[in-house]
Amino acid sequence: MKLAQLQSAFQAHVLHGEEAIAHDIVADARRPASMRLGVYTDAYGARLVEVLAETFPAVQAALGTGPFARQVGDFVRRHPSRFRSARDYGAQLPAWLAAGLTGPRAQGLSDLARFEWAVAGAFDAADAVALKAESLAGVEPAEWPQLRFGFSPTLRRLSVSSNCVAWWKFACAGQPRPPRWRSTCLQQWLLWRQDLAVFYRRLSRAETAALDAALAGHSFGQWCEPLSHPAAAAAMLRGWFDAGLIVRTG
Amino acid sequence: MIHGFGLGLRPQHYTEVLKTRPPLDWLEILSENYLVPGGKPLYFLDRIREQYPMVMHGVSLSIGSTEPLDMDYLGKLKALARRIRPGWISDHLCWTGVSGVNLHDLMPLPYTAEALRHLAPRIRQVQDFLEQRLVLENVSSYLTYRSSEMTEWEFLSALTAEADCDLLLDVNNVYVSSVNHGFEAREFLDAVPATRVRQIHLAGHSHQGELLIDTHDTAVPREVWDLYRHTMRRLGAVPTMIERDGNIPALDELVTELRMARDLAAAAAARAA
Repeated sequence: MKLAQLQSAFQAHVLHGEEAIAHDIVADARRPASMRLGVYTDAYGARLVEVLAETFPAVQAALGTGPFARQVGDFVRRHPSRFRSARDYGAQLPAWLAAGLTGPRAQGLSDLARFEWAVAGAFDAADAVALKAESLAGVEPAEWPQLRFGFSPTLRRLSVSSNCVAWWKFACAGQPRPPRWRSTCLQQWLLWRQDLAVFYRRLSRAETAALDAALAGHSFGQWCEPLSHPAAAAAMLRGWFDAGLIVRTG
Repeated sequence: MIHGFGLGLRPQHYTEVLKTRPPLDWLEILSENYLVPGGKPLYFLDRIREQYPMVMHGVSLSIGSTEPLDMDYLGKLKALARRIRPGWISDHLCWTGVSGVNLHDLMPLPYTAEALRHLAPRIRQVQDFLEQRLVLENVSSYLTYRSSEMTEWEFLSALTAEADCDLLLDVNNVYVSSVNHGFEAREFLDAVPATRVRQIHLAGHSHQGELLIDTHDTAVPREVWDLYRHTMRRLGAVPTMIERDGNIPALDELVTELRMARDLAAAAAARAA
């Protein structure tokens, strides 16, 4: 068997159980080809389930170890990794979970998976130099409406409609008792990393609108216009600076 | 210059390495763990690099694949090498996938003339790009292809000569493969081209039915120490480290375990003198 043909056949065995490669394996009664090939087939599935368990520990806690292995094992069988690093494998898991279950638990698990994916993304996103609020000290009042801000590459925005964050706190932050899944109104969350720690907090409707506009590149004048009071915009901005969300650009 | 005895750097030990400065001559990093944009891995990498020389060890090069080389990956690898100035860059003599798929495993190659013809120019291409000689590790394997035309050690000898690359000799992998395929481990160790061996890995394995599996989740077993002693008598001083990836113990336990390697190497050197 030529090298390219051998590799395709071996991979087809690992991914789909195709048998062509078995004819090219040295085997005996004590160690048949199926046993030898099985090491690679079993390792492939187990490794990716393990990687996903590391990325989604709260989903694993919510589903239970056995059901997680089955559900996520099915995901692995249907989604061959195309990533150089196993760390990047899992982006499609939240949608897969949502499609495979029904009821508040389905929404909750999908939200929880998206929350954990956002945490993982913030964890090793690019570093940037955070600016202090004092960096605006020299800005003339007339220039304020045109100000635009650069945001930390670690910042993640998330909309959820379940109590998934309570589940995350239970699994990852030591909350003692698992909550009951329930649907909620649409909640807006912000996640980011400051130094080495990942933070998260829920956003008010006003801050959601302001932050999303600022992230979209709108000027200070544009995003603070809908706010009821200029002091609200100043307080919001101060909070973003203090959290390390506003960074040097260019 | 890398010499002496090291360990694989694992995230569980980041803080302790910085705090206690264990008596290690160098550290090996898993390259892929640091091919990230930022955050904790790179933060600790930079600080630990200030204290220890390092070598880079990858799992994703897929040098034996019939897919084209991933130049994006190689570019990131080169950037990481610029950042930490490693003693050398190693990966595995294997393939990890075709048709855009990554099996995230070290898949064995057939030991054929065709595979040699395929590998040698790819290795040279990587070496030209990285501007240094590549160090390739023998993998543990659980099967042998009927199409193989030579032994693994004959293949390694031919490849290093043809591609002008070096070897990372994993003594545990030699032992695991010898049991799984029924060859004599010492015959392998006596035949690898001595001048090409740049680094040695020691590790533990586990039993799975009739096969041994390269799990790196136990202490280095007696059989591997015996083979290491034999290797040291033949090769002399070669930078050596213990690889541990599962059931990772406290750092001082690994540092203590590494003393065995130091003692065996010293005894081999004394015997040769």
